[in-house]
Amino acid sequence: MNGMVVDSWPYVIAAYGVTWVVLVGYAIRLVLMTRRNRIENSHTRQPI
Amino acid sequence: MAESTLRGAAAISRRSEPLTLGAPAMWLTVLTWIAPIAVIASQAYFVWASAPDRDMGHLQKIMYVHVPAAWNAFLAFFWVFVQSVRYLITREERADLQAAAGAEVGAVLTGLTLILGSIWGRPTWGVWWTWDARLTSTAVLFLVYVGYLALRGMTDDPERRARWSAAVGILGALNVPIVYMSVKWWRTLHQMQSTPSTVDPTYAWGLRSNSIAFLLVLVVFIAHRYRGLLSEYVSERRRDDAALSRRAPV
Amino acid sequence: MKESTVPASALGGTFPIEVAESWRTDWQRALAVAWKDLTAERRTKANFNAVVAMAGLILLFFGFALGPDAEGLRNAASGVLWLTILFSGVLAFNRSYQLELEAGALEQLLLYPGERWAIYVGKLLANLAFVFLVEVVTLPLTAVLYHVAFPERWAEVLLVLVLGTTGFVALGTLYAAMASRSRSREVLLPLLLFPMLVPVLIAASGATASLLVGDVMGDSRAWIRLLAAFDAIFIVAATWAFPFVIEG
Repeated sequence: MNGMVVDSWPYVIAAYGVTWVVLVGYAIRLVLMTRRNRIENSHTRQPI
Repeated sequence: MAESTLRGAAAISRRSEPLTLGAPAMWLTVLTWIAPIAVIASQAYFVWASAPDRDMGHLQKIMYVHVPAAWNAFLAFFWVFVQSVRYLITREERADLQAAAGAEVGAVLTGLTLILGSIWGRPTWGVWWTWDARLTSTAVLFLVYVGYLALRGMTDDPERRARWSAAVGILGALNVPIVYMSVKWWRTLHQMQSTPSTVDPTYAWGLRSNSIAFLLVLVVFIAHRYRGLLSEYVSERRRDDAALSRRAPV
Repeated sequence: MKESTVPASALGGTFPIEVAESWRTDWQRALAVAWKDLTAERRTKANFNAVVAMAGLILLFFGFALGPDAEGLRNAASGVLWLTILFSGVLAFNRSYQLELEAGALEQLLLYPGERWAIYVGKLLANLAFVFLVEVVTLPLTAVLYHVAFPERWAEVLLVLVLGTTGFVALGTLYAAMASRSRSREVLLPLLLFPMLVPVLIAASGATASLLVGDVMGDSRAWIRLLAAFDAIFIVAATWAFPFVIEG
């Protein structure tokens, strides 16, 4: 330890913030993708 | 030559089995709700319950997200490895899609691990990056993931993409322990400090609990990503079949 | 071409003689592939010259970037040497498939009966020869530019060179089978290959660095063992993976 005395809360908040941004962000991506796939698949045209 | 023709014929007959995407299984729907609750609960409890560390103050709480992200990032790669082996044995497209899902989620978690490692390192060591063995191995793993995904992105033929991804995934997985060992030896030779650990039992439970919560998230993410890939694959096949069965010239 | 009557994929051959026969034929095939690749290379020499020039250029560039201080350069020599080998060597691998790709000869090559691994081993040998020859120039050039004294334990330095290069070329030959047939092959090959080479870079440059200063702590032995293990594992893994990667 180099004995740095520092206010640790901003870093803790940053860490949890980034974590949630990433997790929620990816979850949103999955939701959008699922929605898009559902739309595409419901419009299947019959072969001639 | 005859052997590969036979295998090709088997693959084609397997392709003509109707691949469908139904509604998500019950366990997945349930888990999709439980996972975020587990993460929130686990984080909230342990952030509140952990006493500030003598040296690191509250910084140690960052470990409750950094370590679970790291463990699950590596676990995701193990999933890629298993599915890649499964693909090479069975040649089932589904196995390849599972591997791809695992790779994407794994890449995200690995990236998160690196960012969190950096956030932890800055107040602790005064630097934004430490060439610590685990963090550095994680950086290499991230690049392996990126390479895997880049290869998939640049290969259009699904069968070739699956075969090549499987080979890259398996070789990459074989290398993970070797990379870790090399980096660790490299570090000890330069005698740098290692990540300090605490004996506090709450800390250990915090790591475990949060890791399991993250594991649930990992499973949910991979499952949904897989469904997404499967759905894309199904609609692609449907388009191909429609094009092939059209009698009148377009 | 003299063929044994048993299909060459008959490692399940019942008589040792037949198994040995098919092994011999496959090795002949491997050497034939190696010879073909090297002859094609020898005729033009253009590629070899370009790669060697590239290696020299990289050495200079590292020198410029690191500054003219002799002590600093000497300390960096081992790392720079290995980076130069990796960055210049990687340029050679795609080319070993390009000749066949352009002539459409890859499908022909795959039509010949016999184990695919023979193709891999042949290309591996050809690429090894190529990279070793590049190193014959690169090594002394590095010593000169980076003020490296002739090491007492030069034999071990050479051993490290051989082991490191083998691991590098084994994986490079395999990954190039894919990258050379992809889009953006110039970036895809290093992108796929280099993360795999982290242990090679660490071990080889580490061992070379200690050996150049006499290796008082005996570090090099551990690194050499790591390199040997790495080579063994990945030559086997690459030989196994090659048929999956080269077909279709």
